[in-house]
Amino acid sequence: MDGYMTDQRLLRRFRTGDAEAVRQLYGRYGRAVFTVAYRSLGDRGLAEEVVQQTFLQAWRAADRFDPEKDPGPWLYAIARRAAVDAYRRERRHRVDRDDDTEIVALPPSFEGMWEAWEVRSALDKLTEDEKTVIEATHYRGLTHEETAEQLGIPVGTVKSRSHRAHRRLAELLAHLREASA
Amino acid sequence: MTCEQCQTLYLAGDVGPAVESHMAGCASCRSSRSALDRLRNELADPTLWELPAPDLAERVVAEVSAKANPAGRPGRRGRVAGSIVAAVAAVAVIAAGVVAGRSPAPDWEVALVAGETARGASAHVEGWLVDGTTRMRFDVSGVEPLGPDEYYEVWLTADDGRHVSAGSFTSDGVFETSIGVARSDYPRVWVTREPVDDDLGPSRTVIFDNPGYGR
Repeated sequence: MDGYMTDQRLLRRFRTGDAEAVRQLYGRYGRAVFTVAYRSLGDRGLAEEVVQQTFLQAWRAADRFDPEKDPGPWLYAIARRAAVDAYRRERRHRVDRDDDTEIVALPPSFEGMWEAWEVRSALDKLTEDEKTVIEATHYRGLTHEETAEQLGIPVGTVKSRSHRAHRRLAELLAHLREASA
Repeated sequence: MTCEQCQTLYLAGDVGPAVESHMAGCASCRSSRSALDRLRNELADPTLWELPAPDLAERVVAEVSAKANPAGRPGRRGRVAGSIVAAVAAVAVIAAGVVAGRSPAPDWEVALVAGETARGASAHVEGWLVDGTTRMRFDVSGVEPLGPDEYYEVWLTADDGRHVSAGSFTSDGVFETSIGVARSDYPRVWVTREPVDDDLGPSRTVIFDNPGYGR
């Protein structure tokens, strides 16, 4: 099994279609790509097609991408474009053939995607334990006590994990706060 | 209290008097408040927590590898230590409810046998061999709808025990899937119930099995 690769080494190997490099790139960015696609389109099947298209298009364009750069914004741009294409393709299938409108307005679900990408990417840098506590707090709306009961761990452990997880998230997403300040 | 502590607690929703007091006297933290609120809304959005099917990674790997090396084999599933999943040129896609157009008569069809844990459920499969790719249409009814932590996985198995995953689904429906092997080489078609974990091999929970196989 190959070990962890730096982004630069990963991208160089990704260019060749190396299976382990594709797997690792997917491991780092696949969920964020899926988040963008799923939120845009609201359909799991279509979103998964967009994920496949995104990585395929990224591989095709990898020769033109500087591996010294952060691949996140590059992959985000490809993912968003693939989601827009999928949306318009589906929309065209549904409208009457006589309606030859070429430009299809995008719904509000396409707005604010960059923040969704950044938040999902930041979550994927946390440990599984940290992610579980964040999910329990924000998505499931559980108190620390309820989380502790469900996970079968002491409340103090939940509190310390929660604090550590939120501190890391705040650090990882500091640029979003600075941009809007 | 530092700004970092204040913003961490605010993000966590732990807004007590100390946080309020710091915010009141700190222009920097006040200016971050709306961004932190947006992040909290983002974290509560269900779509953020929706995850792709567990086999999507291998579908992406297979697709890119196949395009990068069209005459050869895609990369091996090297992480499946100890498993007997075949390293074959497999591209599996299940599209729920997206069975396009009218198809010619199938090359084969089989009514799978429901396992102990799926009594009353049924699965009928039709298959075509097209350019070395097996295309299958599943008509599944009576299975328990699964939540985000589990899925049903379709397997093809060779007589020597090698498996290849042919896709996944989570509820009743009509599904199509394609995989780059011939059923003559992988005659057993079966379905297991899988937890979302790192084990890419089949679990022991058999939902449907090919007649003549299984227990």
